[in-house]
Amino acid sequence: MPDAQPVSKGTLDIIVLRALSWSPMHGVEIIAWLEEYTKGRLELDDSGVYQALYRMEGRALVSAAWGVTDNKRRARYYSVTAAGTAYLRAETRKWVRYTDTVTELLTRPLPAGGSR
Amino acid sequence: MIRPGIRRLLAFATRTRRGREREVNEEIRVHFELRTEQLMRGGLSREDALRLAEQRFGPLEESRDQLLNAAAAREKRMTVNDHIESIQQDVAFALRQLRRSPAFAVTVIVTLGLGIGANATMFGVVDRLLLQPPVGVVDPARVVTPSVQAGHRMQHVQDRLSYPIYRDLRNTTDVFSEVGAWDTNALTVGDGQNAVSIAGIIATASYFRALGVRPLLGRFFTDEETDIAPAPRVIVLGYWYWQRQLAGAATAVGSTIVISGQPFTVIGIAPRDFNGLGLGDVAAWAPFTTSTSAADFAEWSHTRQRFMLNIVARLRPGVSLQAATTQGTAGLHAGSRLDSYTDADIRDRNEQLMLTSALPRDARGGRAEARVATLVAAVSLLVLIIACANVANLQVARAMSRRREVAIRLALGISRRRLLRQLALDGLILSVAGGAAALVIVAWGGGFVRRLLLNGASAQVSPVNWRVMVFTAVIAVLTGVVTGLLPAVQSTRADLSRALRTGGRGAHGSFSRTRFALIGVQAALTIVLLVGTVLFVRSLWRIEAVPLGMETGRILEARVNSSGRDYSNEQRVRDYERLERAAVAIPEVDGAAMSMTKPFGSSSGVEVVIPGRDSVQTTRTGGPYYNAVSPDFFRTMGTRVVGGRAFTIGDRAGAAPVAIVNQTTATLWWPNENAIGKCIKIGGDSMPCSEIVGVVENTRRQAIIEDPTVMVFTPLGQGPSWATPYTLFIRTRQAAPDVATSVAAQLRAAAPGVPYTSVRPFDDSINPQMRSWRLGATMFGLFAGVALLLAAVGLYGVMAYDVTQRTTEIGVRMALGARAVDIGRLVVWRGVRIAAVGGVIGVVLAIAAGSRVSSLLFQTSAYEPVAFLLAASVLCGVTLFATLVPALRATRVDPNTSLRAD
Repeated sequence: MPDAQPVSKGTLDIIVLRALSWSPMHGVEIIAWLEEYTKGRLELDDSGVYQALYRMEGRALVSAAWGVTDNKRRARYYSVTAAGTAYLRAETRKWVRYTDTVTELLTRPLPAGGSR
Repeated sequence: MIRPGIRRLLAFATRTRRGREREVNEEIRVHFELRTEQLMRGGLSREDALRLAEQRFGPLEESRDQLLNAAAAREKRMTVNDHIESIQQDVAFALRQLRRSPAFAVTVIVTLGLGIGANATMFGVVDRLLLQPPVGVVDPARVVTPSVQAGHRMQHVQDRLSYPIYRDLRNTTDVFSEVGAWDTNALTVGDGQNAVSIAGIIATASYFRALGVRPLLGRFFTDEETDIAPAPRVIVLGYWYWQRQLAGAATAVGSTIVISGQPFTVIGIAPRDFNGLGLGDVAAWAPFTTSTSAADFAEWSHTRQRFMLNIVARLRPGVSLQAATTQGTAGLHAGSRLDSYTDADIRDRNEQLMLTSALPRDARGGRAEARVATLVAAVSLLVLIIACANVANLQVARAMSRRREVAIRLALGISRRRLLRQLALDGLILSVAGGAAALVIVAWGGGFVRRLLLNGASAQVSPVNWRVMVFTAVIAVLTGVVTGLLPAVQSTRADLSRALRTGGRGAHGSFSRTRFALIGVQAALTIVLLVGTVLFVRSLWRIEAVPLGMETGRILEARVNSSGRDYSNEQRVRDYERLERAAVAIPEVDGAAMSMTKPFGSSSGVEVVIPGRDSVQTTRTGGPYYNAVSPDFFRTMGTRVVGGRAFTIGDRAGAAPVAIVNQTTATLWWPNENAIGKCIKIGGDSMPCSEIVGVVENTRRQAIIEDPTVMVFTPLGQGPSWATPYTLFIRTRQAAPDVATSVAAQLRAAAPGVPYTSVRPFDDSINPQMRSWRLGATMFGLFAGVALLLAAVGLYGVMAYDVTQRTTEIGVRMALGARAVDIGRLVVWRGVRIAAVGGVIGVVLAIAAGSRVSSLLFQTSAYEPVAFLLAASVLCGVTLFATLVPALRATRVDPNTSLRAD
């Protein structure tokens, strides 16, 4: 994946939350879902996803339980808690406002005149 | 989503480090498995898929360590969250349990409410009296109130001082930056039938500067307004009076209010809750010389022995109390010289200044009321301990009945710590509710105690303030932990298998011991309270029985409120004469007489010369003191004439000058002779001879408890020009308070045109001096009553429970032939034994505490056997009463049923 971009730690949390808001999943499902959804444009570190999950589990944004996969394998399933949903919504709003501002700043034509 | 409860069941898997490691490893293993499969589904070979999975996961060992750390951090965080949640659960559990036994909960809450409420109320009082600095006063530690000690053994203390002394201290500028003079003075607002009397203070401009107080609106007085007589008609209003009467309008400043028929300009509003150095609401401040004519001012501002004002001074920065005392005393002596006292006089009088800071504990801490209040506050702690003992007792009883439940939960693996926490929480919830009940008691009882204790204290200040609330909260939490923990420790220590086997009955030995010990504690403390009650009641009786030389209960005092008028001496004499004539015509009135000074209020010294002697002897209280009275004075006051005659109408101005002395004076000046017929010159050697025509019994000058005083009386018309009436005493046919209102109305109606006249029972002037004993008797009595009730309820509860627990034993005894009387005696004896042991401990405690209270009692030893006997018999009676019902129930045990029950 040559054009894949690295993900900063802060955004990894909401990215993973976003995946889980689709449906409860185990680690590999999350990774696969993200790869598919972003068409491989994000450079995800698999163990980093687990770290994000553990971190958020500690903050009660996600909860985890051992469950069974479709083909009868034991796996740890993660799901978003109510606190996680609220967190995701708030963080998304912040993110959008931030990127909108920066995008506008970087892309709008500059006024005539300016520096010498 | 997994529920925390279930998670906790699985918790040991991850709580330990090894468990956590196993779980992380397992998750990594599963990850590789599933990831490889996923990649293979994407078309990779098994080997490529595995390689890619490893690559994407990162260096295995490093990543694994990071994950382990993350998992550890996660567990730590979740443990905290779990704790919070489990506490929430425990609270909910405790609330459910309490809802199931409402009688228990209500009893405990009421009991704790009483105990904590007693403490919080007394804390509020002590706080108000001794801890909180006066509102609005800047740096109160540097504000001092002077008094003067005189005599060579410093026996005579003069709290109220004279204008020349005020002048002397003002001149001592190197130690005092400001010196102010003030006095309380009722002001009459409005006129005629609508006139009302408000609490006022007359003060100099320097009074406000000495206190450092700033006006809320407008300004305070200027020196020019307060150092001349008559003073300009300006007034400063108190915050609450301004709020109530003028709706807090800013336009009040500059407006006019009518005082004693004269318009006064409002120049300023005092800050909220500012009441000078006192606790009572002050409605207004008027210039110090408001009611004074120029002639009067000229006279009393030069009379060194006219004790009529209070002084307040501010120390200069860096000046110590010691230095100020020394310098101030020197100032007094210099001033005496200015007032043409000889050096010999000054040496002889040996006046020393005494300074007390305005901090409440200095200003009031030494007063009997404050000391009694502190004692009662300490005593209220006993009530709390008794309440706690009762609650602990109830908790133990409940713990006994919950023993089976506790045993089952322990057997099911709940940790002892968790169980302890649940039981402690139980106590905490109850005590917090008790604290809330206590605040209700404070709000309700605060008013009562304030009337009793802080008579005249501002009612604007609520008895429930944040300081009282914090105090209550702290006490409530402490009691909760104490009362909850004792039974908790007891019940979790209980033998599991035994409790389960016996179904929670029997084997109550250690519980019983605890409960009986708690009852003993209650009995002991109740004895202490009862002894205190008896001691204070006896002190009160004895102080009330002190002969005052006056029948105070049937006397009203009427005073013309002349403040604000340019009131000449002549006018005052005419007005009082009119009032006297009007008073004797009222049916309820048995007699009336005018007087210059008022016993328990004011006194005046005078120079007396006995021809042929260098000086006259006085007693330790100073003097000679002098009063000018109208003819019927002694009969009106109920003062007996023990020799010669009283004054008559014939003893008027222009007639031969006569005088009457009291017994102390007669025996001091003429030890072996008859005083009747002797000549004294009142007011100095240049005055004519007054012939002594009578001797009266000793009366009080200013205090119920005071040394004998040298006292000289003349008829009003014959004294110096300044000897004019200031009080009319009215003797009533019934108790004075019963007819006060009626007499006042008739008096005012019969003498229209005389300024507003206040009428009140003379006892009101005297009763404050008995307040400390009245307070002690009432509060001790109240607390002892509560204690007795709690102890009785506690004892009853324990005995009743004891009987039900021993039904089998009693049944066996009865089956073996014990009579009902024996069984009853057995139960009563058990109760009496505990009370007796507790009582003996209580007696020892009371004796130990005796030295602390003896100085607060009046002519009563702290070790009076009567007090101990009475206390013991009351406790005995209550014990019998409390054990009687359980004893009767025990005698009705039917051996048949009780033996079959098990």
